[in-house]
Amino acid sequence: MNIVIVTQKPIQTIILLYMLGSIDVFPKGVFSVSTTYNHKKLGLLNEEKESLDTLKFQCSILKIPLYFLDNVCSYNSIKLLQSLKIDLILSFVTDTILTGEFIETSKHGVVSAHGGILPKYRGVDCLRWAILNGEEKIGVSTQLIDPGVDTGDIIDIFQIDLSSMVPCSISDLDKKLYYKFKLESYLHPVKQLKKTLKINSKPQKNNDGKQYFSMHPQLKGFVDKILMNKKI
Amino acid sequence: MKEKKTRFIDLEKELLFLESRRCYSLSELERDKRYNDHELINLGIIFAKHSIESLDWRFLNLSLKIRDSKDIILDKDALEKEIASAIRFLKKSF
Repeated sequence: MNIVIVTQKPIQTIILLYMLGSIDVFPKGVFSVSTTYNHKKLGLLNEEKESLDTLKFQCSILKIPLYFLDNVCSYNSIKLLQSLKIDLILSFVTDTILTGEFIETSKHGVVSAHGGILPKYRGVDCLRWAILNGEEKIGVSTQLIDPGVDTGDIIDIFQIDLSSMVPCSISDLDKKLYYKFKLESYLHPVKQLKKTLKINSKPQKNNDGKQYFSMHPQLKGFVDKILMNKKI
Repeated sequence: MKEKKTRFIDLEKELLFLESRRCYSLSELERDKRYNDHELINLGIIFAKHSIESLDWRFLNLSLKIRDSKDIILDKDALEKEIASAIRFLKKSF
C-alpha cells in the first residue's frame, strides 16, 4: 500500500509515522509543505526549524524520503505526486484548500482530521464555537478531503461529553482531544484500506452544516469562562 | 406613487464573503466597491441584530471584527450599541 504524508506539522508527523509502523504500514514519502504567507504573518503555523530538523532526522533513520514543497498544489508538486502512484494521502495541511487535481493524485483520496463534529461544524475554531453554541458533545472528525472547506465525505466522528471534561482551559481541552482522537483518527482509514482495499465514508449535504471563522477575542473570553464554569 | 426601493440581503452569503476575504482587514480602497466603510458598519449593525434573532453568533463575531477594525474609520457608535445589546442577550443565555 502506497501511502504518503503531506504535512505542515513535523512533530505530529513523526508520531504518526511510528503509529503507522505499529500496524506495519510504512509511508513511501513525507512531503513537508511551507506555510502560506498569511499564516507566517499571523504566526499561526510558525513551526520551529528544530522540529523540521527532527523530522529530517527521523525520516533518514526510517529511510523514508522527505520532500520539500513550497506550494502543495503547484504543477511540479502534482507531477511529483502523480509519479509516485499513491493509494492514500494523509494530510496535515491546514492553511490551504486542496485542489481537485491534488486530490486526484491519490487513488483513494486524501484523509484529514478536523477539530469539530462534521457536518455541523466546518471551518476554524470549531471546538470553541461548539462550546459557545452550548453543545453537549465535542469531538474530531476524519474526512476524505474535497475542494471545499470541510465538506468532504465523512469517515469517522469521535465524540466526547463536554461535561466530563469541564472545568478546564481551552488549551487543556484541545490537548486532550488531540491526544485522545486526532492522531488515532488517521489510523482507522489506513487499517480499513489495508483490510478491505476501500475506505467507507458518508457524503455530506451542503446544507447540513455551517462554516465557522476565527473567533473574536471577546467571544473567546466567554468560551474560556464557560469552560471554567464561570458566569460570562 | 413612487415605489419604495428595498434591498434583499442574503446575510449568510454576505458573512461568507466578508469573512473569507477578511474584508474588515482591508482598507476601503482594497475592498470590493460595494463594501465601503459606511456599508460595512451598516452590515455590522444588521449582523448584530440578526445574531439575536437567529442565535447564530457567527454574525455577532463579524460585527465585533468590524467594530475593532482599524481600517474602518467612520463613527461606530450605533454599531457599538447593537453589539452591546447582542452581548447582553448572549450572556443571558448562559
